[in-house]
Amino acid sequence: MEAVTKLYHEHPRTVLFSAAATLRLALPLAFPALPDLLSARVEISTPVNSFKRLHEGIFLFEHGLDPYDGGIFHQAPLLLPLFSLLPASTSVLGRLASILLFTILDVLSADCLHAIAASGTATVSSVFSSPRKTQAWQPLTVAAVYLLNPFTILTCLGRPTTVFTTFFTLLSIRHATEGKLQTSAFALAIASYLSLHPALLLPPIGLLCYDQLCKSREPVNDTDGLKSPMKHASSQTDRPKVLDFGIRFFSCFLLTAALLLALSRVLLPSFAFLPSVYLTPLRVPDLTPNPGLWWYFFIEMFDPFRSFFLGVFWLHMLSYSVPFCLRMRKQPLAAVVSMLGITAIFQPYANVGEAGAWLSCLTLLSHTFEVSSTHRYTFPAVAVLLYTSLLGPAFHHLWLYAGSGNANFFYAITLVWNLALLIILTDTVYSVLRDEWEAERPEGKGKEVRQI
Amino acid sequence: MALSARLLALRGSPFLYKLPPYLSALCVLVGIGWILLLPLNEYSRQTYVSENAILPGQVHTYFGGSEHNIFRAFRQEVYALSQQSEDARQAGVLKVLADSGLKTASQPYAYQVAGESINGTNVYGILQGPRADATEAMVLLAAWRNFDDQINYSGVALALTLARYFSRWSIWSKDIILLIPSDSTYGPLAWVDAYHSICIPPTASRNISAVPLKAGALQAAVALDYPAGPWGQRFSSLDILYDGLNGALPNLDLLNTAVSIASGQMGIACTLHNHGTHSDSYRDRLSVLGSGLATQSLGHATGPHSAFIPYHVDAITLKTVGDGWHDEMSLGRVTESVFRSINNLLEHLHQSFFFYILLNANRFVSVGNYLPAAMVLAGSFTISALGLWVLSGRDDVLVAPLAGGMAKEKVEMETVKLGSDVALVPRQSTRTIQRELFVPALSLLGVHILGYIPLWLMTSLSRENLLLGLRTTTAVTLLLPLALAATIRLTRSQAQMLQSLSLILLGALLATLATLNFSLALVLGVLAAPLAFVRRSSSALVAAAQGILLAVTSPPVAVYALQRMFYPAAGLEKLLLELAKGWSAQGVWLLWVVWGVWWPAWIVGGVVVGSGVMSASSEPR
Repeated sequence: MEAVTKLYHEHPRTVLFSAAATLRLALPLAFPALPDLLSARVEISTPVNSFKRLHEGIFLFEHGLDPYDGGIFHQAPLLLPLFSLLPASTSVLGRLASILLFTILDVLSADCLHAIAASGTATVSSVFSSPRKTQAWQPLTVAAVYLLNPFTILTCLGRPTTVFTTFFTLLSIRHATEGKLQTSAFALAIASYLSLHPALLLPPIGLLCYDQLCKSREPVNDTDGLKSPMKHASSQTDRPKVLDFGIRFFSCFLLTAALLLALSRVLLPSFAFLPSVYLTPLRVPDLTPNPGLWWYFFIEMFDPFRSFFLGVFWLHMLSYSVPFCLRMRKQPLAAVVSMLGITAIFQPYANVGEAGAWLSCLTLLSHTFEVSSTHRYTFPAVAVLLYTSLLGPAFHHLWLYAGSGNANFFYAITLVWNLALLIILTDTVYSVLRDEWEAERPEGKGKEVRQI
Repeated sequence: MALSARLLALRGSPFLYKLPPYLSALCVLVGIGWILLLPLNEYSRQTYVSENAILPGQVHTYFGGSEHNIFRAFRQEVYALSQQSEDARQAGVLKVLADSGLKTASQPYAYQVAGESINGTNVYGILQGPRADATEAMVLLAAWRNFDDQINYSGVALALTLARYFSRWSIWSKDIILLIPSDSTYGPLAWVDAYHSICIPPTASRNISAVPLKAGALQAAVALDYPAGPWGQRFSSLDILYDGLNGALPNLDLLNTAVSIASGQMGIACTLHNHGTHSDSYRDRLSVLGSGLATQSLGHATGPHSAFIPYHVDAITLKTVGDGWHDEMSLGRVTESVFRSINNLLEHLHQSFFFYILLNANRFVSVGNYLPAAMVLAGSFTISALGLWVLSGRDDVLVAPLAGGMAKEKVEMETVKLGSDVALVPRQSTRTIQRELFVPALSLLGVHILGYIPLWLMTSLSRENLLLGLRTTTAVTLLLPLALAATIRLTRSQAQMLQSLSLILLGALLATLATLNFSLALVLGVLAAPLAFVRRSSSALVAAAQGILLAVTSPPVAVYALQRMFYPAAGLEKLLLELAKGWSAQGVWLLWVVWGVWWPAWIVGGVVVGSGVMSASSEPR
């Protein structure tokens, strides 16, 4: 016991990571049917990330056919050679190998979160320093919340390919917090290449990276929240040019994306992958149930209105990206996390994996939890998440297996699930903004919000 | 504006912190009272056939006349077969089926539970409907031994006669499967499992072979239970059994069809749950409702039909009761007419209710009227949990008087400005303390994992050791909370958090359960209700009273009570064996719900009470 505590005190990160990896590998060994059961769950696997569909693609790919011919496979082409290296997932060895791969991804993602939390970007930006920065959680806790989150564990065993997207998104954020323009844009391009919607993170991550570049040019500053306008003005001149930065960031992103697409074309016989991978999330042809808000709506939709509402839904998602950056320009990491939430909730093929990853990312803003837990509805919202994660599978069972329910049962629960996620998102936005406001007006601390 | 300001002002009021227990208690009372209201006319409805295609009793039934002679011959044949060995019996039945023009097959099965083995063979034949395209089928069941382990002489003979009779008709647009399992529970279970699977790999507890012959998707199943001997016995009424495994119910239309044909066309009275004399009074309705809740919450098979319902095959058992003037031909005509109605179906039974509580054969309560009872009960746990969560974040000084402590320290005051109003409030009420969540969360997880030990014991021990297992579990269960409280040493805030998390989980699980098996959720909600009200108290008297209340409503004690109240004739060992069989062979969740959901919540309640005792003993006043 003492040896364990000693080891924990010396290498806490190693202990946490190996414990999480052991848990992920022990579960399929103890319950061999679990991974395939989870891969088949609609909450985890959607048409654009399902592990089973990936195997359909690999089968066609290995037999020299166009994997996008069947209309089942809609995932990024570069996943194919990667997964054809693994042994067939029907064998015990293959199943373990694939779970090992996803476990490594989870651990790497947790490492990214650790680095992001350790960088302190959440509380201190180039123009703002949170009055609550001492209340931020330990980086190790942030990583632990990600690794031990039940949604993340279940997703890891269900092996949807969006885990790659999550990893590359977090990697991009990590490099942005280190002010590394090229690598950040590079990682974000890979994430967008895999899933398209991370492209919406381009403005907030760009802002974060720019902010970090500004911070690194300044001398290390004092501790008080607001900097004097004089100093502010003087530092303005040292800052990198916005336009210059923007063009470099964006062109890095575009170049990488183009490179990846070209590489994909080399692998495949035609450009058929482009519509299959990128038009599927845009046009939502496959309406398999998922925990998101789109499928039921578009099942009920009359065809003439379909394109219009597709536009409206996508426009709605798009419309957050820049406004978040404008409003939270002083806390760019908060803008990134909020945008992650928007995509996790509103994307057409929503899944529990991305929602769970976003919920874990919220701990990056842990310094504001005090505000949201006293003034907002965190506990009820989390309780609703618990209720819906139990009721969701039950209603899905009643609808499709017992036959005594219908689609409305499941859809109602996904509505409640998304409502709870949205409440958590709005509470986060509230507490981040309130934190910013209290830095300006310390006398308002602890007061109720009132319209003036 | 004024209202919202007033509501906002309420947020900090100490009144709110005291409210949750009373609200919870109200929820519990409403939940129980709600059930008592259901038998009233205002809350229940007359049953009606909702699916137009069924047309119950609209056809003339021709089963009669010379068929009676054939029936009597078959009854003698069945009696003769019953005197022979098991293999000869099966061969004989198969021969009769083949002679009637059915394609026949048999399927052996074996289950191993608690050191006992259940063996048998399903014998069945498929009558291909002349107008059928082999995509749909209906099942006529007559188990060789009925649910009470009597030989089902007349039931099997009637099924054989009907098979012979049906094969001469040209009207069948669905295949008819005649299934004669060896017993009433495991035979149909093995058959329906195999029918819906490509292959069933044998496990330690189950080895069933594949079904060699299949027809289409099963639309409905009707089982006959008529154990009258070779010389016959007239009956007075039909008892209709409808409970499926895990509390699933068949579509109400099937039941309505059977009731309307039996009572409307043939004049046979129909009863439910063997309530022979039903005067349609409030009391009788409540008693049928109670029986329904009991069988549904146990979730075990109640007849040969039960195994079909989880596969979305609506099924009922017609069981003859009493001594009257209806003979086997009336039962045959009822069955014929029911099959004609099912034959009319254009799509799977879906029109009517799947969630209902029956008050008598003609009266039911629909889901909208009864579900709130269980939901309100589940809600009582959530309300308590929310209250405890808020309290757990408050300073000790403020909460102590609320929690029944004696602290009378001088409370620091501060002024709060709200617009132009100024108020003096205790400083602590505006502060929250940092919650130390780690220990409570870990303890909760640990207790939930521990729950799998009694579950494993109760399902894997051999028959002789089950009783010993239950006694050990009872002793350990009653002592474990004190031991845990002594080792973990929770602070007040941590104990509240632990209880809060446990209650919220219990509430969510019960709400989920209420959608799957309403009765089980309701019964468990009532039994677990004290868990929402126990509080940590340093007073020995209060702690002792809470301890006794908890002990009386503990899961192992409930098992003893279950045997005393409902199965006084059968020994406790028999009950435990049935429960173990239910878990291992029938796949009933009941034991998991008891040991994996209720037991951990109960242990946490005990730890909360115990931690009060521990804290009082460690720091004497």
